[in-house]
Order: sequence, then C-alpha cells, then structure tokens
Amino acid sequence: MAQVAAAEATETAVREIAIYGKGSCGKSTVATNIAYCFQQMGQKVMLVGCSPKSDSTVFLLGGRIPTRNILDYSRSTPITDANIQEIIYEGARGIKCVEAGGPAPAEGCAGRGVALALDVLKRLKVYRKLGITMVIYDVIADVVCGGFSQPMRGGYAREVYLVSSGELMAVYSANNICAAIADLAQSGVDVGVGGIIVNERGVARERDLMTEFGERIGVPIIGFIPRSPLVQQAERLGGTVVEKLPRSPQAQCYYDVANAIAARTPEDVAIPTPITLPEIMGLLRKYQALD
Amino acid sequence: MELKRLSEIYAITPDPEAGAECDQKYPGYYTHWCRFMVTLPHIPLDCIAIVHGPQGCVGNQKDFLGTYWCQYHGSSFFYAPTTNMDQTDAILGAEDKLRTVIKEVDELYKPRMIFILVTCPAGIIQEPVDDVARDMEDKVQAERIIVIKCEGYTSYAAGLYNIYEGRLLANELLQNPEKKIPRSVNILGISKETHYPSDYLEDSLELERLLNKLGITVNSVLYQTATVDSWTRATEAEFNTMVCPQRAMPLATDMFDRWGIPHGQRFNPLGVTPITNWIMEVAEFFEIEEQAEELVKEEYTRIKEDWEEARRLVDGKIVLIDGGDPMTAVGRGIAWGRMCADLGMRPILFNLPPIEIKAKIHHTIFAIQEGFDPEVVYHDYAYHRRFSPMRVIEELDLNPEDIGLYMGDVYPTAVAKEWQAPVFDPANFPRIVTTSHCNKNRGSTGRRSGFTGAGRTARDIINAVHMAERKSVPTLYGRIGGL
Ligand SMILES: Nc1ncnc2c1ncn2[C@@H]1O[C@H](COP(=O)(O)OP(=O)(O)OP(=O)(O)O)[C@@H](O)[C@H]1O
Ligand SMILES: [Mg+2]
Repeated sequence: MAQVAAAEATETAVREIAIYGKGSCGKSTVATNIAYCFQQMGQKVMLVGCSPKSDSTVFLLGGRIPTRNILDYSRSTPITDANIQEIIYEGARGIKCVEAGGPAPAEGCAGRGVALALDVLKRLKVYRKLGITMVIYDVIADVVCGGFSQPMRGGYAREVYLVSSGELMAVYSANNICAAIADLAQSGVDVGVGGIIVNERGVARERDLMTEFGERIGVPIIGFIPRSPLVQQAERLGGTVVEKLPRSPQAQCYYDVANAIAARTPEDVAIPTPITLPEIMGLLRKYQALD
Repeated sequence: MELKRLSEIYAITPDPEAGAECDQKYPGYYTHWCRFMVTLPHIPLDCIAIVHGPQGCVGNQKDFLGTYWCQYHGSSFFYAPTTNMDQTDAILGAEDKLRTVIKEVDELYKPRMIFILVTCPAGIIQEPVDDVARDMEDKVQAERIIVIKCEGYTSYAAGLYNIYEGRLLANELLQNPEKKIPRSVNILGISKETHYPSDYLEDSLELERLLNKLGITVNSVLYQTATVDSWTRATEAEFNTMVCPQRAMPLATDMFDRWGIPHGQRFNPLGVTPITNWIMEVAEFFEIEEQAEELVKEEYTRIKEDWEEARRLVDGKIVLIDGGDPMTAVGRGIAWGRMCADLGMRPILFNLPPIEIKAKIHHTIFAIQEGFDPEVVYHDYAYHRRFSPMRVIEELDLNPEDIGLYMGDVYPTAVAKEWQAPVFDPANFPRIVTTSHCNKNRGSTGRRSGFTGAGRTARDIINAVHMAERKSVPTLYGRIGGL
C-alpha cells in the first residue's frame, strides 16, 4: 500500500479540460491549435475526440481521419494494455490523438459510446502510462444527453471551456451548456467553466457583446480568435494554423489563448449563472447583432 | 382493510390508463410484468421469435416460464434466439447482427413466420427494426416478418396488455375465411397450455371432449401454442366460446366486427353450474338444447357423489381465496370463487389489487353480468403487496370456525414469528392449492374446467377437509390437501 501511495504521489498531475460549444462553432479548430501550442510550450498533450464523426484530431494527423477508434476497435477486440497503442495515434509534434468513435449516423447511441470510450482510457490509466500532462476533450456539439456531458460529469474534466461566436444561436447554446454545468455543480459534481473562447464570426461589435455576455453569466473571456481564411489555408495544407503558418497573427491568437489557459489553474473555474433567452435577445439587440 | 363487492371496487377505482395517478396510488402497476415476458409465450408455435436485445431478456423469460408456467401443463421448453445485444451494440447499433440472425434462423428452423420482439436496449436506441423486417421479408423463406415492440419500459399496464396483445395478433394473423365449417366453434382465451395430449389433461381438451359429444368440432384453440393455421382458419368457425375473457374478448370482438361471427358470454367454466351454462350457451346457438341437457345430466352423474359430498362438508362456510400473483389474481379468483359459491360457500377474495380488477375489465364485467359479485378485501395497497390469510382473518374479525376452506399458495404466507412458532399454519385449515402455476394434478384439468375439473376439485376439497380434521401439530409449511 505504501508503495502505491508513493507512486501516486510522484505522478505529475494531469490537467484535463473539455471544450464545449454549438456545432460547427470551431471547437475542433480551437482544440487542435491549442493542443499544438501546449505541446510547444513543453506539455505532453493528448487530444481526445468525443464525437462519432471522429474528426476532432484530423488536422493534427495531416488531414486524415484516423481509421481506428476506441469503439470500433473494441467491437472486435477487447482493449487492453497490450493493444491500446493501436488506437492512439501520434500527431504533429508527438501529440497523442485518440478518437472515441461511435455509431454511423442515425444508429445506435453515441452518448453512451462517449462514456464507454472515456472509461477505457481511465481504466487502462493511459494518461499516466504515457506521461501525459494535459488532456483536451473535444466534445460533440451541444450538451444533448448524459453521454455527452460525461467528460464533466464522470470526473474527467473539471474545467470546461466554451467556444462561441457572437451569433444568437452560438450564444444561446453556450448559455445552455452553462445551465447544464450550473445544474451539475448544484448536484455536487466538481465542475465549472474556465472561460469563453470567442471564435469570431465577424458580426458587429462581437467582442463587446461577448464581453458583456461573459460578465452576465459570470465567466471570464479567455481570448478572441478572429475569423480568418488562414484557418482554411492551413487545413488545405493538412494541419493547424499554428503548425503550418506559425508566424501568422492568427497563430499568435491561439498561443494567447493557450497561455491564458496555462496561466489559470483548475481551481479558477466559475459556476456560471445562465440568463434567459429574452435576456440574450436583449443583449444582441443592444449590440445591433440582430440587425 | 374492509370487504367490498367486486362491482363497487370496479366503480371506485381509477382508470388503469390514467398513468401517473395509478402509479402513485398503486406503485408498481406499470412495471411489475414486462411486455416482452407476456408476448413471447404467445407467438404461434410454428413461428420463431427473434429477441432483438440481450440474452438476459430470454434468460429471465426462461426462468419465469420455468417457475410459473411450465410447472403447469404448458410447454416445458421455451426457446428464443437473440441478437445478444451487448454494450457495444447498444452504442453502435446492431442492425447487421439482426440481419444475420434473421437469415440464420430462417435457414436453421424454417419457420412459417419470423417475429422480431424488440426489447429495451434496441428500443432505447431506436433500432431500425421495421426497415430491416421490410427489407428482409423477400430475402427469407418465411412467409412474413412481423415486428412486435414490447420493451419493458414502455408504460405497461399489466392486465390491459392482454387486450393490446390480443388485438395486435388478431390484426396480424386473422384472415378472411375461405369457407364456413358447419357445427364448429373456436375456444378463445387459452393460455399456459398446449392442447396436446400429455400426462396432464388440458382444459381445452376437456372442453373439446364435451363439445365432441354434442357433435360439435373445435376449429381453433387460441391463442397460446396456436399455430399460424389455427389463426388463419379461426374465422371459419360458426361460433366463438370463451375461457379467459380478457384474452378472448379482443379476438371475439374482432371476429364479430369484421366477419360477424357471434360469440358467447359464458367464461371460465369451473364448477358444475358454470360448465352447464357454458355448454348450454353453445347448445342454444346450434339449437341442440335437449341433447346438451342429456350430456350435462350424464356428466354430472359421473361426478355427483364427490360433488355432493364436498357440498355437504363446506356448505354455508366461508372460503378464503388468495389471488396470489397480482396479475393473474383476478381471473382466477373470480373463477374459483364462483365454483365455491356453486358448492354453497361464501367466497371472500383477497390479494386482488383494485387496479387489476379494473384492468381485467372482461373478467370483472362478465362476472357481474352473470350475477356473481363476490366480496373482495379492499385496501389501498401497493401493486405487489400481499396480505397473509391470517391477517385477513384477524382484521376482518372472522371466526376461524366459519372458514371451511382456504384456497391459495402456501409458501408466501407461511410466516414464522421470530422463528419460533408458525403464525399461520395451514395444516389445520382445509386448504387446496389453486395457483395454476404449480397445479399439476393428475386426472384433472389444469384450471379445473369442465366436469372433470369440477369432480376433481370436489375430491380435493373432501381430502383437504379430512386432512385438516386431524388437527395435527402446526408446522411451518403445513400440508396441501388435494395434491
Ligand atoms: N477562426 C476561424 N476562421 C475561419 N474559419 C474557421 C475558424 N474557426 C473554424 N473555422 C472553420 O469552421 C468550420 C467548423 O469548425 P470546426 O470543425 O472546428 O467546428 P466544431 O465546433 O468542431 O464542429 P463540430 O461541432 O461539427 O465538431 C471548419 O471548416 C473550420 O475551417
Ligand atoms: Mg468538431
């Protein structure tokens, strides 16, 4: 027992963060870029794609969708210490990439799948064995079911970062996720919001709008990422902006976000105070974002 | 705890489809039985049921059938292939597995039709079972693939499900008649038996024997262990008779509405008067009353000695009838109560949940229509809750001397007080076991239908009364007379 305790004590703490936000709002783009930044900053990063689309890690893997993922693999072969390596890909700069996988569209239950996939990683103590110091969960779209809230609910990531633009539905969605988090926190789950990453769509006064939204729900803004064709350009090159276009101002924005997250600790999370839809509408009207 | 008439309880109990209200008042009503469990035994015998779900569904079912049904006359081997859905299938879907199983089952068993029973996990993830069935239908040799969604979690009201299920099968399997078979009837509402000669006499065989003596043939016996043919030819009969009205009525009304086939009102022919009424009803339809009266006389003569001896022993006494399992309590309780009334007894029925009295609408209504409106112990209790006979005797302040007979299962009620003395020792009550679930009784019909059943029950009662006269030392388990 004493030995086990000692071994655990020497283990470096793994920081686990989860990225949530409306579908297509730029979660995977943010996650892959900051994963790269963290790795550059000396962390050992693992990116866990929690979506049946299996497209979270694609731009760390040269633009290719990984062919093996946890759920597909475990269908034919039980995943053990011996074969877990088969589904962990090594991406740019040695970042570890893994996809939960899931059912084909209109079949099965992807939410339950996420829960199972995360369980496999935990059970096999993958993070410890690979010496990972930073885990990023890229979670599918909105909080739609118990499975998709698993990264925060199951004691995986106590730090949630929201990605949102200043568009009505993105804000609405971020607000809903906040309601879910407030609910979970209320029922004793150790979870909170680290901050909002504004992935801009270029709507009018987007930064002011999001700053006020952050204040209203009691969550800090972590950084602003402008909308930029460089994202697509990097994608065409099969990678992230920070990898393919490292000296661009856009790359700097991702480094700023990564630095801001690094400067925070898991203890710095806030329990959000979600607002109502009319309040959101009012906010957007105030900044002429609904015009 | 108080005594009310069956009709009164029926009137004051909320509608079983009222959902939340019932669940609050009678917790457990919607969950006690599982839809799947009730569906599987009623799939036609020459068809195969594929269970789209985990093996556990079938394992549980076999257990259940083993203990509750098979000890009775029914089929002793229930078998159903499954897609064996596991956790990964629940995540990724098991459509391919289902297709494979359909193909395999078709080749292996060459079933007349394939039924797919959808249980909880497949239902939760909304497996595209209908699409698969439609698509596979012309890829297999089976005539049809029929999907039944019977997930246990879909709000399930026990007694009512008999009606839903009957309607569903009637709708799928009954067909336009090709001809009419003169002087033929169907026996509707048979479950838990095979209608094959075996070591034990089936109720339907006893009824068939009596009908044959009148020159009437039995066309179909529906619907447990029926074949597809039993269903398709059912509409060729001239008249429908009933055993369990809850299962019979959905079919009888369907056949009346669609093909104008008349049906009777007499049901569960247990006891001399009920079987007489049942036969006379058929006789009236075929206008052979005189011949039927002769038959009744002849049959009664055969059992007269026992029947009258039994009546002499218990006439004027109370019979306490334990409903046993809440779902089957009502139909059985009513039928046995009516038979005891026929022997001159005052039946008091207990452990009949009010909500099930309401749900078993056909049993209740037919009994009341016939003028049988027994006293029932009324209590607002949870669906599964059962009272011991001792508690009933105490709370109703009955005089044990007045109790001539106790009918029911022994085991749930034999309770030892602090493990010292049995508080209820059935040894000194004349008692016969009524639970059809473990009612293997040589020389008798399973549910004691017909004259053979009545005669055998009379003998059981005589035995039970004499055994109780010994006033033996109380034991925990007592003795079961009549078995
Ligand atoms: N800052 C940006 N500037 C320009 N295009 C962007 C930016 N961020 C993301 N995109 C583009 O938006 C699209 C959606 O981004 P991404 O896949 O990261 O979203 P997501 O939130 O992960 O979506 P999903 O919910 O489907 O997983 C991508 O095609 C990406 O190229
Ligand atoms: Mg994504």
